Amino acid sequence: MNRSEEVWLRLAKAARKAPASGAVEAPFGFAQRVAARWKVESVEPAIAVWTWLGRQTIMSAAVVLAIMAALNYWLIAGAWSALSEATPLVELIPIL
Amino acid sequence: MDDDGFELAACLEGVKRRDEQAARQLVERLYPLVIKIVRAHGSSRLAEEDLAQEIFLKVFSRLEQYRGEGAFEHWVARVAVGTCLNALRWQKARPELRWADLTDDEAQALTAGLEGDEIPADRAVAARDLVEKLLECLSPPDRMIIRLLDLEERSVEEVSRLTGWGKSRIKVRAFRARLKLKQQLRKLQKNGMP
Repeated sequence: MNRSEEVWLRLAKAARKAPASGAVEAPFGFAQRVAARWKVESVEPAIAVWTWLGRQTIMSAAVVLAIMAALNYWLIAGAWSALSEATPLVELIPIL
Repeated sequence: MDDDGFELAACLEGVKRRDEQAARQLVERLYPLVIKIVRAHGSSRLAEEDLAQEIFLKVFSRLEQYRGEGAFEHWVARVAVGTCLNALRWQKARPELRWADLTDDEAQALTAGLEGDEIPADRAVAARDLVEKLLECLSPPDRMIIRLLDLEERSVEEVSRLTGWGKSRIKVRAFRARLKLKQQLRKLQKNGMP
């Protein structure tokens, strides 16, 4: 065992004899703060799930709407062109 | 049930049922154990409370994982050690300790140690403060290993259980950490000792 090691061991031995520093009691209100934060944080994930589900629903609805619009495009466009080509209902009759 | 009427199993059941009162009781009960581990990792006094709070929140959120094998305090200690190591992972080690950094009492304790004398009991606090300063020269994981082995006199098996590291890894880390401490002591002796 070299000298530095002996010094370290002597210091460690003396340090072990020192009384514990600082208070070991929880500071006033600490337990309440932790318990309250735990309650809030464990509720938050449930809210987050609902938020996530809501967002997913809106996104799915938007996708379905876009697909439906694409599928029915020709039908809608065809209807418009048919309307424009149709013979006018009112015929102007020249008076004399 | 304990002498002071605390019943751990009932308290744990209460926490699982999301009872805030039970959670408060558990925090008050475990605070001395948790704060001892937090302080042993050398976090600043300001960060101590935040770290302790994080440990308790982890304990509550992982309570379902505690299967009742072994003492609950050991399980909490393991969670606490893991949380501290994660939190202090980026903390830098002090580059070097110089004689000028020591208080008079610490310098006297070191002189006694260097001269081969037993450090007197009335210098125990100074010796502890000096040891803390020396440990600041180590990285947080090395600091923890040395603290557990040399200051708390825990066995390698115990340290392995607490940290989840293998025994050989602990032995190698402890060897290297002691080497660094010895180098620091040599430098102090060579460059600064009056």
